[in-house]
Amino acid sequence: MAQIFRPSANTVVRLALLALALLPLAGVGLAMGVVRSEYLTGRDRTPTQPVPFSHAHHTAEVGIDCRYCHTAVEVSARAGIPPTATCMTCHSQLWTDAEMLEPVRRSFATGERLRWTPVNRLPGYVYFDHSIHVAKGVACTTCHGGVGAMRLTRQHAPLTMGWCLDCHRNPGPRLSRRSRPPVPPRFTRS
Amino acid sequence: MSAASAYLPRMTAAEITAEVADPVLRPAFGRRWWIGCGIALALTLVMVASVLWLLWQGVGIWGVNTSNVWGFALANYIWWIGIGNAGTLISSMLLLTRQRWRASVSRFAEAMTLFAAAIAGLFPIFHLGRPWLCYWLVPYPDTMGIYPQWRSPLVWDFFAIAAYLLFSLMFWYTGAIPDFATLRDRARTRGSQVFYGILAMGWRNSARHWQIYESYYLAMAALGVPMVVSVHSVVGLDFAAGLMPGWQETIFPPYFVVGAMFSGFAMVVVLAAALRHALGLEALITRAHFDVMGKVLLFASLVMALSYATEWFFAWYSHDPADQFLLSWEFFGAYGPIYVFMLACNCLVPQLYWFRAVRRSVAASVVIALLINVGMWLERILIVAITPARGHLPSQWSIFWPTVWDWLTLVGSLGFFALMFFLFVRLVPTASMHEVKAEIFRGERP
Amino acid sequence: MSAPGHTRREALRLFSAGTAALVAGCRAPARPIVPYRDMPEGLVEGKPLFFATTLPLAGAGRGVLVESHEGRPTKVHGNPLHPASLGATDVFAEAAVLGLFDPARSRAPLRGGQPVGWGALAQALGAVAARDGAALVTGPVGSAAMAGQIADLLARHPGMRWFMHRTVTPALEVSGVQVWPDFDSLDAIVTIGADPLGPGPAQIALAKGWSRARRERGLRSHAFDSGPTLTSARADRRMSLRPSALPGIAGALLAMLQGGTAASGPVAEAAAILRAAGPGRAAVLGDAPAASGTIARINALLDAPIRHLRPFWQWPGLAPAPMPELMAEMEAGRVPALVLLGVNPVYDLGNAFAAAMAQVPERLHFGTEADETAAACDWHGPLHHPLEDWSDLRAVDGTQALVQPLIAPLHDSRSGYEVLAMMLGPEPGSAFEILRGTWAARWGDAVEERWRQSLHDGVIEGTAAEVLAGPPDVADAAAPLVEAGGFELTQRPSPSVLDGSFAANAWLQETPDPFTKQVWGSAAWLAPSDAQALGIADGDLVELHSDGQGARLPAIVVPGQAEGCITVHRGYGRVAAGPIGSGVGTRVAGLGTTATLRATGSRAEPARLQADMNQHGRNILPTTATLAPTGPPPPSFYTQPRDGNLAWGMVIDTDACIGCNACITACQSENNIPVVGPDETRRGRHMHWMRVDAYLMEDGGHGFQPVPCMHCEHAPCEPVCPVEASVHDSEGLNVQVYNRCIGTRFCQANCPYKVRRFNFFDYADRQAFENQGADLLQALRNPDVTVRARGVMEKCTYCVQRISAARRDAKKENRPVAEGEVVTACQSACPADAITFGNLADPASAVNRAKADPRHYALLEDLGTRPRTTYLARRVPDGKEGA
Repeated sequence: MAQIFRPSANTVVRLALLALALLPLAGVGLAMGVVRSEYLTGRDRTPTQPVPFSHAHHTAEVGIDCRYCHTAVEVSARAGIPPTATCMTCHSQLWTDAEMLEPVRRSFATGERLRWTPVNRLPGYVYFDHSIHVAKGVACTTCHGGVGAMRLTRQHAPLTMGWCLDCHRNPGPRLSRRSRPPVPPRFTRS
Repeated sequence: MSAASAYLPRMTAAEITAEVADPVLRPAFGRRWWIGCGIALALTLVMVASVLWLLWQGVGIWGVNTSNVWGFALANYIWWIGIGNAGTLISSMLLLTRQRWRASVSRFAEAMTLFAAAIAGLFPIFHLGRPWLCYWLVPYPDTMGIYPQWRSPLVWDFFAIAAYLLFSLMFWYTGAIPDFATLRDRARTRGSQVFYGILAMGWRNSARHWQIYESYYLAMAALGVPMVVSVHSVVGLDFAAGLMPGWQETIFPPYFVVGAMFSGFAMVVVLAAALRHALGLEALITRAHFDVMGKVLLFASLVMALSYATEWFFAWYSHDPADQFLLSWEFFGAYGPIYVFMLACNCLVPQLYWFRAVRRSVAASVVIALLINVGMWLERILIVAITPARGHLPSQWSIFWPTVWDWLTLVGSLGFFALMFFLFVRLVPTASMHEVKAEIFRGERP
Repeated sequence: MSAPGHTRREALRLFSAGTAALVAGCRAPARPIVPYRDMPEGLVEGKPLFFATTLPLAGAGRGVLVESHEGRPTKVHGNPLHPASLGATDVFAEAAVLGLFDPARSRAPLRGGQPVGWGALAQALGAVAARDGAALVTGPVGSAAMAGQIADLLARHPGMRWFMHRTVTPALEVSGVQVWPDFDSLDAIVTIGADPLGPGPAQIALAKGWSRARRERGLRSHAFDSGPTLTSARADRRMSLRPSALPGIAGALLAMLQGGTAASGPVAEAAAILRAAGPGRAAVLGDAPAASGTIARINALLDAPIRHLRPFWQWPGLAPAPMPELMAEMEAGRVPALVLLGVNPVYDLGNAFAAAMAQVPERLHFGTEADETAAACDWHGPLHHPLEDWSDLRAVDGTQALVQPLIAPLHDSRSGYEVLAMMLGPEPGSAFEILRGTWAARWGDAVEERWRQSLHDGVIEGTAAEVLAGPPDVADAAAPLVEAGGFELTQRPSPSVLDGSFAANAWLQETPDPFTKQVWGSAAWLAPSDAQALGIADGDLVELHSDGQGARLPAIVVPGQAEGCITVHRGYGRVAAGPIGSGVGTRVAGLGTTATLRATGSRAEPARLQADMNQHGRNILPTTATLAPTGPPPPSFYTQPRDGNLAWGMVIDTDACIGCNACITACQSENNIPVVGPDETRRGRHMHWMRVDAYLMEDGGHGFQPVPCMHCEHAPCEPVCPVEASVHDSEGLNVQVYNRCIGTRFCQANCPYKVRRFNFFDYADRQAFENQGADLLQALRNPDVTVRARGVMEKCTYCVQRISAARRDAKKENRPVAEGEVVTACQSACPADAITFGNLADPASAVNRAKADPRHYALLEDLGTRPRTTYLARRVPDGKEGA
């Protein structure tokens, strides 16, 4: 009886069986890779801001401490974004005509608030408290990266749960020596 | 005539092939097939629509509530997976015990298992509050650093169902390879030649092929029996691993296994009668088959009766007020009539199988088997609904009543099963030709 | 050649721009961070501020501390410094935030149903005030500033008349006298028809005192009433009888105390406890005018430690006229204009009032919602909600406190002060100025300091009610005539919506009646013997006829209801209460004191959170008489928990719990718990994390058992969750990880206490009941608690957000968590101090003392779950069963 299939059919079937075994694994691997990729975690993503604020200039060059603007970081869960008035403490005197600072001046003049794009976003079901991390010796740069070198603010860490757990399962090597003594009660009680 | 040959047709090999293979190779099937397939397709679409609505709206479209959290979905899951039990038992256990009569029924029984298990695997996904995350039951390294919780019977369920599906598929498929080869060789069109040729995987009927086949098949059968027992025991542990009255019973695992065998064989009886009539397979699926399956069902119903009696006995013996109250509520509470009807279907009606005339009557067997299937479904839903309705704290008692979506999903799943079965009948030989021929051959040898 | 090159380059640029946009990430667009222009003083982002204010109930105030997150009030707490709160709240106070953000609140002035400006309305008001015979109708006025304004108004316009419309009197206010017991001196109380623990502005203070007396000295109480009330449920002994028979009880009691017969029976037993307490240590409390004289004589005989205070709404020189007078005036056509301020008499008084009001040519209504009265008036002006208003309020015991706003007015509303000021002159001045002016006049030079102190404390020091010389020498009022045949009807304010003014509040509509656990409606309560005689079962629709009025509502058989008496609840059957409150239940205010009952033959299934109140012999709610001694815990294969410095536990004293439901609403507010609505409730779906189970006790009374999550040490819900969403933390809490939950509901299936709650639909957002998913309502959510999505299981967390906050604070300050630093929402709200919560690892903690109490037991102890939430059994005196 004539053969139904060409001799190459054997090879095809063997390859198909191999693919049937390997493709699901490859698919899973691909999915796992994509989930950890910067595409989904947002790492090294630099969102557009109303004002191209340069942390490098303000912290490394000018020397302003993080906490001058992010005032609540030692007492509250949220570090806080400074009100327009904080920007104007300097920029009412410096760079008063700079076009780049026009939105800030307009905000201060009209009372309309600035709308910043969040850089480090956690999902809504995650409760993150900045103050306790700071109190226990986690430096700002540990999670936020070399902010002093960032001309535009970007997300430094993948901020996945696994990334958080990596530190929580072994925090010791990542803690910095505490730079100030524990906060006295007056500043923590609401 | 020896008893064994009562199960086997007095036909030559060629006649058997013609009987089973030729209808499949016909270019067109009859009107009845198309009508049946059409109805099944319509019901399948009903199921699809119900599931889409479920995904869109939420589990709240069903009748479940805060106390009575599992409803039709779990009952359907257990019922379907129970039905799937019989195919594996027929193939594996009857093979290992060398029962001749399995040859004619094993093919479609295994197909029934495959389809039933596939449907059963869907319901645990449907019943989730967030079904799109069902893949979290698969242990893989995720970005959260968390794996499934191994102590949970639902995780065991996942592995059990996955293994069961894989096993059933491989067992059924490899067992059908020689028959696919037969179809390939008898194919009349190029299309069916290629189709069955691919399915036959180059089977040459050589001694070497048969040797590999036999050792593989026997090994799988040896795996199959403990697999079936473990799968249904795990399903029973979904309830028994808890501490609710009426669920916390050590008899549940074996009780579920026997119950699965019971309902599965009943479904095999129904399917056997349907195929026998529709495809004219009276010679292959004989009255002797119904006789012996009736005996199996009778045995199973006696074991079920014993299981119920054990439950009642221990509820009384334990002097646990919650268990005792539950027992009396089972009979006299809101679900009382349903419970009694279920007992009648499962324990009383099958006693008719004591009578040989009933066992050998196809019509009577089918009626009794249908009642058993209904009774077993009722038993599942009663297990799921009774305990939370009358649990430990009276303030939390709450009755479950189904909604229209509960019914539509159940009926739709029956339609989906029927659709797959109709396609099976169209494309695959419904009896295992090579096994029937082998049994006849063995029977003729001195 | 350049053109195609350009095109190609452009195409590439577009392509790469598109790819870059894709590469930016596949995420939902982020909501921007919007900082302030100037940081408000004292505000730290993420940290709440607390402001002291006062909330009115039926006109009287209870002090509260309101938690505010970035200018949004999210939670009401009690004010420990205010005597009408003492740190606790009631359901109405807890639900006030929902009332503030209610999307159905009146937002703008209306004229003939069309929006109009305040300018026009103010003009109309000014014109109206000058008319002779114009009528001003207010509720009971608890505000000194408003009393002053009304006095000014009446002085300036002598033709104007002032009427007071009351729907609810505080407990123990009888015949124009506020009776105020001194619980620190009381050892025995007999109540005759009075319900001091029932809903009202005095509930918190009276419950606090009562519970303290019970806890410290084992206060005994007997109650005589026409049906189950919170007071009678708490009493050691109760007797239910027809309301017409209650004055007779007072008479019999007096006779017995004066040296009457040595009879037996409930009255004799009541007399016995009064005598046993000794002179000056017992009191009889009643509220029916028909018995007030007799009760006054009994109290004099007992030298009862009660004071008689001037009611909070009485101001010197001001005497409002009652509503019947107004109706007579209106019917006679002598009222040219009617101004209604914060009242809804068309609903409360029904068609008679509406018809009379139709005779008035000009009608102006002011209120927080466009209610039935607003619909019948020409003008409607929205009033501020108390949480956005400047005001002052007097509590039932006379203590005055300021009301300060938590948020700028959300809508175009005005304060009641401003409305009255519009009647006084064209330049109204702000509510703040009016309020401050009143108190500046009183404080003189010390106004700055006293003002700041009063705002800070939430209490104005040195204010108390005037103690009246002695008990009023009144005779019993004439008892209302009772027709023979038919049933006597008792109308009570609803424990959920009071008089109907809270009908638009979804939290309150879903707060159950303590005895029937009915929500979203009311029912006719029948005694079991009456129901059996008439062949009426739970859920049958019955029709009550009284005074020519009819009402159809479902019947519920309530053990403990007096034979021949039906109890119904006011506050339902509203038609203009927004999407939440309209069409809920049946209006009964038109019925009289007797009614005939007729079964209609159809059914009207009430929505109930609990249908079976029987303990079925399982001793779920033991008393000291039925409590079985427990031995050491049985051995277990489970690994024992190893707690560190913190091991949280809770003890609930069922002898203290009065069943007021404050804990339920407090938990709902704190934890962003959604409302499901009546249909879902009927399907058996509830969302309250804290529930209060009611059970029938052996003596025929009711007992209450609050059930939060048990936080079992061997939690049955933990080993069964396939994805490890139900886990145990190192401090003993069973925590539910919302984001991990895929909704198999195995945890709830295996929980013997059924404490878990599943989101069958997206109750919080897309599939929220009615308008409960509105954007405005997002403002009242607690930002420290996740809002759960559809398909996710949730349950009581021991207020883990508060535990976590306290732990973080302690770690930042390098100290251990102090005793009493973590207070759960239910614990702080409870006016009976029934809930003790704390650290079991601290040997000196209050919760450890409670667990060592001989009355201590765990629910379903023999299951081996080892719950951290345990109970103290209810005391029965003298060890006699139920005696």
